[in-house]
Amino acid sequence: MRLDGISLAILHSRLISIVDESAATLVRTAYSHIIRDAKDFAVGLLDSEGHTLSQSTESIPVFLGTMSRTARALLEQTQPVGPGDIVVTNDPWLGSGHLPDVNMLMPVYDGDALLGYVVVIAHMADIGGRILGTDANELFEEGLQIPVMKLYEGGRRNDALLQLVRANVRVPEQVAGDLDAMVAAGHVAARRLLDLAGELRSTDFTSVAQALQERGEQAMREAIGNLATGTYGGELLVEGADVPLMVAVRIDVDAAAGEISLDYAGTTPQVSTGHNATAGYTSAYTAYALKCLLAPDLPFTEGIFTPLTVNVPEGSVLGCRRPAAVGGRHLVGQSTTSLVIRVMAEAIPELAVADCGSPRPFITVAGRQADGAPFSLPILAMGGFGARAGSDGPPTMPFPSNTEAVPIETLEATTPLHLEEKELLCDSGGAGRRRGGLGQRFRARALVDGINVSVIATRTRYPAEGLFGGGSGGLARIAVRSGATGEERTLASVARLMTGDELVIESPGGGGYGSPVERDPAALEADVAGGYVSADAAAACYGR
Amino acid sequence: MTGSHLVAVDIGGTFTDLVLMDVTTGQSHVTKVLTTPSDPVEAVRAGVLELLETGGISGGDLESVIHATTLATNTVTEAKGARVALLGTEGFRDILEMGREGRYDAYDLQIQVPRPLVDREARLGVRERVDYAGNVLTPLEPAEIERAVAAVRDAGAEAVAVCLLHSYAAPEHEALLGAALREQLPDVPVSLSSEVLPRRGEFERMVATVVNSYVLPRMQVYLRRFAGFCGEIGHEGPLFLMMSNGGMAGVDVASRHPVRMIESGPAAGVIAASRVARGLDLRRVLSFDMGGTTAKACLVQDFEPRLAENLEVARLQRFAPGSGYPLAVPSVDLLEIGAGGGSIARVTSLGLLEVGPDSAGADPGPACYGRGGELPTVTDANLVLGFLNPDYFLGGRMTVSRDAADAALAGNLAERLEREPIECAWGVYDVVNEQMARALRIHAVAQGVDPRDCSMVAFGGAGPVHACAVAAKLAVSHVVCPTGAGVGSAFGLARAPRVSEELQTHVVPLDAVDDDTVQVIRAELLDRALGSGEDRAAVDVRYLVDVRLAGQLYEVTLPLGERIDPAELGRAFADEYEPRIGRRPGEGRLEIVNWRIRAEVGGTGAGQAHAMGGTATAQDGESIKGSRGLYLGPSGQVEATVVDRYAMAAGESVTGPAVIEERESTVVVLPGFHASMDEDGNLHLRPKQYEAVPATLSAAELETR
Repeated sequence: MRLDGISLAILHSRLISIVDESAATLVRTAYSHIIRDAKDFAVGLLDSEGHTLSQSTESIPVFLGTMSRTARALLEQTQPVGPGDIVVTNDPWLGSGHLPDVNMLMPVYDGDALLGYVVVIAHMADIGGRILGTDANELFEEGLQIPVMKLYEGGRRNDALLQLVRANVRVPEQVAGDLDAMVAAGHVAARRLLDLAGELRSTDFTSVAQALQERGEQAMREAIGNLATGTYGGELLVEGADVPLMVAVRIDVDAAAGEISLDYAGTTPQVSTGHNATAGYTSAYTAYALKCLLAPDLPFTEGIFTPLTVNVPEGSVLGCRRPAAVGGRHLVGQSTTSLVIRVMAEAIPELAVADCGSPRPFITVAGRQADGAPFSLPILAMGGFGARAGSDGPPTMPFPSNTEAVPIETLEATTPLHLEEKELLCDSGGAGRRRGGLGQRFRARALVDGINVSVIATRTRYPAEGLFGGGSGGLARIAVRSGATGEERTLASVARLMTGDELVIESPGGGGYGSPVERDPAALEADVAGGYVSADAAAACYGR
Repeated sequence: MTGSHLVAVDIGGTFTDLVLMDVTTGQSHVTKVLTTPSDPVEAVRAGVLELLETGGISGGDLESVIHATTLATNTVTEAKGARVALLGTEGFRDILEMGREGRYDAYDLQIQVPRPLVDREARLGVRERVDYAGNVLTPLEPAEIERAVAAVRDAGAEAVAVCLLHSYAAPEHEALLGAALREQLPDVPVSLSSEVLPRRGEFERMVATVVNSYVLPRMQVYLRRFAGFCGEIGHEGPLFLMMSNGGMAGVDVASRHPVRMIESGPAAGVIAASRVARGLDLRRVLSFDMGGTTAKACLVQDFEPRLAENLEVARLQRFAPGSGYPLAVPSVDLLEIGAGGGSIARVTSLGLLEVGPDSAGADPGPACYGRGGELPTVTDANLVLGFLNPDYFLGGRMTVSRDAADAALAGNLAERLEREPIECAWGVYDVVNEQMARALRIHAVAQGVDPRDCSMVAFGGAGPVHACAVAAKLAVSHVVCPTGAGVGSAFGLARAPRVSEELQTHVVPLDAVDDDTVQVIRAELLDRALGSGEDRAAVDVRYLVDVRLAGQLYEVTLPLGERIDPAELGRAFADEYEPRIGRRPGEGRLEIVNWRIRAEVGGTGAGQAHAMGGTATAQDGESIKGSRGLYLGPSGQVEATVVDRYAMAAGESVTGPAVIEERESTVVVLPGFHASMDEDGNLHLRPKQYEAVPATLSAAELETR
């Protein structure tokens, strides 16, 4: 198939609509809040050689970056993958960095002809072990490991595997139901791909993947070509269990060649808590940050990786070795987006964004309802977005991950928690000519005894920093307020709530952009009138 | 005599379109007058009186008056609504601003979010609380009610929205606040979320309630005036309003719940386009409705527009889903963009030509109207390019000035772009066409349809002027400009059914529903759906329930009888579930989530189905009026045939470049296209080289094209 710009655009749109329909099926038939409400998943189509054709519009960015690599690794380890087979794994090194993410690969056959593969990645409500957090010392504590295995073989379900999974997780109905929803979503995509092949009278999509890849690569090279050749570098700190973790990067831009190479040499060696990221995860978020900066309008294709070389030191917190604990792999892994954007901001100030109040606190709550039924779900309280050259940061918006909050009315109907408050947090946005977005305060009271809480959070010590003179965003704070004594204590890892105890989450604000004294007086006045900025802060930070 | 005619009135941002139709014969008269924004009824008065005179009847001869208006939508998109105060449960007043906390564009670091329609200082927390089951946890004390009323008064609010957590399950607290507000602040209209949209989901319910409040004062004043006008002309029959769902409702519903008519005019247009599609047996149609303020796109498959509850108004840049205000009310599934005849053209700080989304509207209007508008608009460009005839604007009833249009282009664009005014005019035309083509493509492709497989039905005053160029950009090879295209939406009104829909969230396991519950909910819904004066015997009432597997989000809407038959509902659920999800539903408990009613009184089905208008008899005389010069960008100045649409006979065709003039619009036929008239008076435009293109392209053909 030779493809001109119009035909390719139309085909690509069709391929995207296939995965979007599949993703909609997943949302509609999943049982857990983390998939159906928070949307922690991605669906993709690959050609018969494992190269990306399309990815769902609503997707977690890192899944997009890891998907095709994961798929090729799965194919290497399990040949042949025949009609009716479905391969799964939650291996953090092959997949997206921690055990709750289950990766599923389904081949699509038209008779004997292999059209391609559907990949579905989704975060399970529970994967056993300790409740998802950062306090494990080794991977073995973090839950059930599913090596590359077949969940279906020749259309027959592998009930032994399913039983093993069910026996290891706290909410077996939800996890089994969600795995089933992933299979249903895969079947929808497979059927639509077969329809499309029938319409095109072709079973070969490799030229489409290749054309997309070539165009993506070319566009990315052009975008890099607009930068100034040179070397940029920087470092930042992320709080670990006890000592700060250093993330360092050196970025070499070769504008003439349209290439960028990044090196994370100097980054802290891997640690004995769940703060470690896998190299694949780090690379995916690094590429994501560069795409956001340089080519936001470009469809995400594998081609954008081609001009990028990412060196992640083996054995570092960004590229840990097995069996390191990885439960909070996004704390350090996602900090690379802040770092890369911050470092490149001096070259492209108009395209940059100040640090976002991210990653958002990810608080897992698990226990039993009053009637004995188990529950497990994440509470996600988004932080504020960073300010930009042209505009303030929006409030409560996730970055770089892209999940949504569970609606309050849904949460209360399914979980023994009663919300006392969920409002914007005054003064949490970093001061600046453009102000950082506000974080929020979230307070929920336990309605039953024995709710286990596990915290994955950062920016409790190191705030989102501003750019070009902008101030820092507010710090994150996670605490438990005792219902019995009224005492509040800060929570860094795990706790157990009794009836009446309150979970308090304050999410971090985004950094400001430009000097606060340059802020438009009318904008500051509106900030104060609306309670986004207190009168005290207006005086202290803005000099008014 | 009892009424034998109806009048349909569609008020757009720029023009008001009117149709007078004899309901027994389908014969109709149409007219188009400039909208009068300060008092829209003025334009209606002028138009209706004209039509009554033309038809030789009096207001008392009218069976009904049917009305659509984009006033509600424009109020939101132009941010011209009321100052609203919002009462929310204490601790949760920022739901409106925080939304679902998602990021609608995964890669855009410069992402913008819509401005909350209520300023934070006017969002007031009320001490009260109920839970999801409707149990009162914190009672709403009288002193708290007084405090809330005082706060609303102090905020200087022109309207108030009340949205408390879980009010779908327990509306009592909202009702108490509503009663106190109505008593103590009688001039401040109140919207309660438990009335506007009593469904679970605090953000969506709050947005719908706030938007209702935001547009309500303007709509109420307006509807009162409109009803008064109907009385003045001696019309004693009913006045109906077009709702977003493509059905009509009475004034009482519309003046309480204007949020349900946010897509009133566009819905009417889509209903009209669907009817054209059915008449011509076109199974995939892009409805393209370009008016003075916006353009609306809707994919109509198998003659039925799709309904959705994912309406979004005032989307920000790039038409991105998620960037506007979500409205979970039933609506025709369409895409609207800020590109109309009145859209203003300017040069950006980067030196680029930009068109819209803001509009000069009817007042001051485009520069060529000579009403004080000085900024160049799409209409000014169209006039300068020769597409519009200054001596036949609205059939010669309105004077427009080409010199004024020239001056606006010269003064605002030509100098900064370093181009001749006429080149700028082409730029405006091309840029706005590209924007619309992109929007149409996104809309079709989002539903898995290749726009090249579609026909386009183009209407609205500016639709036929731009249809040919937009179609060329999309490689759409068949465009229909129906009779009366310039007032197409008004024709949709004339034949819509009357529909009243209501919904209530009440989550209950299917096997735990008793017949008493069913009776109580049905009676409540019926009371909400039909006013007390309604002749209930004449209404076709259907009850429906949204059923899902407990724990899943996927809901199937199923008919509900007088009793619950769990086995039957279970079977029906599985039958709907299977084709969508690809398998029978798994083991699990079914539950009812939402209860619905749809009450319908049949539409006025008179007249032929093919054309929008009813009268298409060719007038005597020569159809070719002469020729005039058009400026077509790279092709430069060309001489085009000028044709009188009313004198064209069935089967007659004309080859581009040509302009086919009618009173309410002008069909531009670009070089390379030809236009032919069918027996019903529809004009069919086709590119000459694409005449034999098959509907579906094969891979081999893709390769060669």
